[in-house]
Amino acid sequence: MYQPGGSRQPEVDLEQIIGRIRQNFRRSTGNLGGSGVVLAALAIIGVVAAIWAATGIYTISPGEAAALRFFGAVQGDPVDQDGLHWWWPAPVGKRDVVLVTQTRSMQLGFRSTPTGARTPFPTEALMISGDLNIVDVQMVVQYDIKSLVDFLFRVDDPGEPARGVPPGQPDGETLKDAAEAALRLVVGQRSIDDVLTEDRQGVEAAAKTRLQEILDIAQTGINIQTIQLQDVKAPEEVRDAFDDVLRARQERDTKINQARAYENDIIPRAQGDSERIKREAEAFAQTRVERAQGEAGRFKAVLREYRSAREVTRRRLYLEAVEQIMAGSTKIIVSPDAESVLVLGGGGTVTPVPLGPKP
Amino acid sequence: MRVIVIAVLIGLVGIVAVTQSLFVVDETEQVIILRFGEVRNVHTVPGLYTKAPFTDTVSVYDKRILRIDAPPVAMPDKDKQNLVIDSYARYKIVDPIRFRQTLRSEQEARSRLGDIVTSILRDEVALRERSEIIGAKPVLDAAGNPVVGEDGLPQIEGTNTRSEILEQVLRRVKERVAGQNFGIQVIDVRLKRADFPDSVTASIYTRMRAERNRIATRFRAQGDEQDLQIRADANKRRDIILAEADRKSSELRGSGEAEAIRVLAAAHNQDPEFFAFLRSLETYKTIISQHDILVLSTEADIFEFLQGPGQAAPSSSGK
Repeated sequence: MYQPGGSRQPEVDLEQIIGRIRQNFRRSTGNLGGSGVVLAALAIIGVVAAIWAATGIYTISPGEAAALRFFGAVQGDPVDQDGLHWWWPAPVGKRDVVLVTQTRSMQLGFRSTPTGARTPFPTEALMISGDLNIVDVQMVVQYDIKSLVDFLFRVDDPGEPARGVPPGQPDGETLKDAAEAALRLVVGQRSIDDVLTEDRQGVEAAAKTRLQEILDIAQTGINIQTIQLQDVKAPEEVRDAFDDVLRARQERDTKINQARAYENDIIPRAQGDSERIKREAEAFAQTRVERAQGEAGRFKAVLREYRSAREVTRRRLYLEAVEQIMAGSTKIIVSPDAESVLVLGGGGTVTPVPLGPKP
Repeated sequence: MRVIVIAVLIGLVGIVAVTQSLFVVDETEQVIILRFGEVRNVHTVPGLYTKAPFTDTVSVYDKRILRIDAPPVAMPDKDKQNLVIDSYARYKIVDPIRFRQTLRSEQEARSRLGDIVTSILRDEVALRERSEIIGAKPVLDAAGNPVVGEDGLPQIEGTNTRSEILEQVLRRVKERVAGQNFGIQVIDVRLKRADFPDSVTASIYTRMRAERNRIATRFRAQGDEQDLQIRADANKRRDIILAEADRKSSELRGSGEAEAIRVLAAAHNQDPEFFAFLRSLETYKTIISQHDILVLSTEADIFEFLQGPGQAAPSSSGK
């Protein structure tokens, strides 16, 4: 792991350090001519120096990076190789080891407790939409660090102890200010309905772009990963009116659906009826024709035979018909000159019926 | 023993000398070296520096970007309606000597710069309409009338007016600050909030509620409208389908009957007299039922032979 010439990234090399100390020790003792007291003092100094040097050993875990300072000045890029490293201890050097790849988050418009309960923060959450309505927006900003040097040394910030942000890190008030400014700017460009339902993703995307712009201008070194809108709703005071609109929309859609269902019910039935009526008419027409043809055929056949023996056939047809008509019925047969008749009823009764004056 | 005392003394003097003459300028700092109040040197690059012990003092200034959070202020817009504007600004000290001469401390800078930002914002806000500050305007059609959406509300589209106002404010703040030569550079001015004053919130809510009620009423009316329309349309289509079927039916029946009449007439016309005879017999059969009482004359043709056998042919005379 030793990198030759890499003075800003000295690796732990105890042997080299001890060697150097021993060398200095020998040189000093040589100069001072071997006084025992001086020797002892130098030995103590040497041990102290070794212990001091040992405090410069540090480790980098995955995801971490260390920004190194030498007498206050930042030394190149942060170290992000995992493993053991050495850097000058205080007061000569300083090191800040920070988890840079960890996703951090900030809540806006609400705070959640560790138990998961949410407390709304109306001053952060209430804002004006483009159509001059008030809307209640809660969101979560997720971010990580894209430039550790910018993050640590370029922006002053009071920090936010409640979120565990120490003073001097821009993800305290700076991030919060910027997030509020970005979100309100974006919400101000949209109608309340867009923010509430129709364009949530647009709001998230636009707010993310805006927020990153503002953070880059302020050189914060913060990278915004996502902005997620949480609860977006109408303010408490008017929520029932908004809910009623949703209900009304539902009712309208239900009515339309029911009407469509009615339509879908009666139109096919009507078409079925229509087909039935047409088929019946066809059947009627066809039967009429068939019957007529049958009757005509019968008439023609009878006529053919009739023509061959007109008189007797005519007589026979007549008599057959009369026979059929008169067979079972009550008959009163009267002489044209009679003045009354006897009616021969069923059961052997005989009823005299006077006849009226002749017409 | 004397050696030890001397060594300790030398050591103490050395420590004092080192701490008095060496100092570190951090990455986040810039310093002015003062000798009896007079500026001797300025260090803006971080590192280890020396100074004259005891006589020189180090005055430290922040080199980072600093934050000014102006308190929310009610400002009238072009229509004299108040908006509560909460703004913030970012600046950094670029010339610590000028900064020391003019503003002296960050606290002073915060107050002076805060005043400048607020007053310029006030000017700009007074020139603008509320919709420009909020950042949206109504959508107009070709004739210049507002476009109304499905819910009956005028549609709006986002504008960049707020960003433009802020750019203008930033430009003017920069000019003003450069004019005063404060030794600072203003980096950004933003609106954190532009809200209605608390006094009008209630009336805003009343308006919102009225607006929503209107939308709800409209949706419900639309529901009824669509319902009636769809049903009426469906009924109409059903009636037309059935009427058409009836027409078709009558036509079919008519043509069937016509054909039947034609066929029968063609047959019957071969001997109309025989048809009349035959058909009359059929009719008698149908119209006279067994329950009818028939009153017949003794002279009826049918009884011709009831009174006598008559004469065989060729005689044809009968009674």
